[in-house]
Amino acid sequence: MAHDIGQGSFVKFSDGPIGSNPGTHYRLADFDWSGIKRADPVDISHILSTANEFLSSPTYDPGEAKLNIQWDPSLDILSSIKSQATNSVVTLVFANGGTARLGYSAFGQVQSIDGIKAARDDIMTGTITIKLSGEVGTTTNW
Amino acid sequence: MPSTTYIDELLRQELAASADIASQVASRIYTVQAPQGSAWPCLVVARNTQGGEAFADMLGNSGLTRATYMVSALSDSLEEVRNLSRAVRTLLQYKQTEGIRLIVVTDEDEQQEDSPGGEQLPLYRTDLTIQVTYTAT
Repeated sequence: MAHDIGQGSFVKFSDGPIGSNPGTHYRLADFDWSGIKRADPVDISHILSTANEFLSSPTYDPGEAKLNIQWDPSLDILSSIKSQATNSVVTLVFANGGTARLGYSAFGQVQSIDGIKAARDDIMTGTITIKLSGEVGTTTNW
Repeated sequence: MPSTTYIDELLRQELAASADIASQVASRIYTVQAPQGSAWPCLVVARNTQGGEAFADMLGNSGLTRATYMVSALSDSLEEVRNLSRAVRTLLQYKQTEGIRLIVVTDEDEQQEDSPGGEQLPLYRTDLTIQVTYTAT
C-alpha cells in the first residue's frame, strides 16, 4: 500500500437514525481526528537513579473527531444526533487504496453541532464534534 | 436522472414557459446555435463546457453542480434585442426551482455583427452570462 488521498473516507455510528448509511444522512466535506494521546509522563527519577526515569500512563485519551459536513436540512441530522445513545460505537473509516478501507472504532457521542452556515451563493455547511471514549480498536467491519 | 442534457432542457423549458418571452420569440429558442435562416428575434442557450464545477463530498458527488451558460438574444432590431434580454434577465435572475437551485446573471454584453445575409442592416446580439447551480446526481 501507499499513501492515499482522503476521498472515500467516512465516519459511521453503530446505532441511531444516522447509523445505517452516512452517505445518505450527511455529506462529509472532510474530518479531523485528534488521534490518541497519553497523559504526560511523570518524572520518577530519584537520587539513586543512574539516568532519568519516567512513568508513562498505561491508557490514552482517544481524542475527538471533527466532521465538516455539507448541511442538508432535508436530512434533519440535528434531530437524529440529539437522540444518539451514549454507547454508540463511532467508526472512523479511512480510504486505503482504491475501494479498500481501514476503520478505527471507539465509543463516542456527539458533543456539539456548530458553525452551521448558510451563505447566499454557496453550499451550506456545519461542524459535528464527536468525543471518543475507551479503547480504540482496528476494524474492517462497519 | 438529471444530467447535462436535463439541465439544458430545464433551462429551455423555463424560457419557453415565460409569457413575456414567448410573445417575443414564439418557439424560437435554440440550443448551441440558431439554425440558418431563423426568423428574428430568437434566443440561443449554450453551455460553457469549461465552467462546470461539482460540489463533491468524501463519498462522491453531493448532488449539486454549478455551470455557466450563455443566453443570447439575437435580432436585426436593437429594440427587440433589448426587450428580449430584459425579459430573460427578469425571468432568470435569482431563479430557484427544485432542479435549478440558483441562477445568477453575472454579465451582459451587447454586440453588433454584420448581417449573415450581407444586407445593410446589422445583427444585434446581447449575451447574458448566467451561473446555474443545479441538482445532478
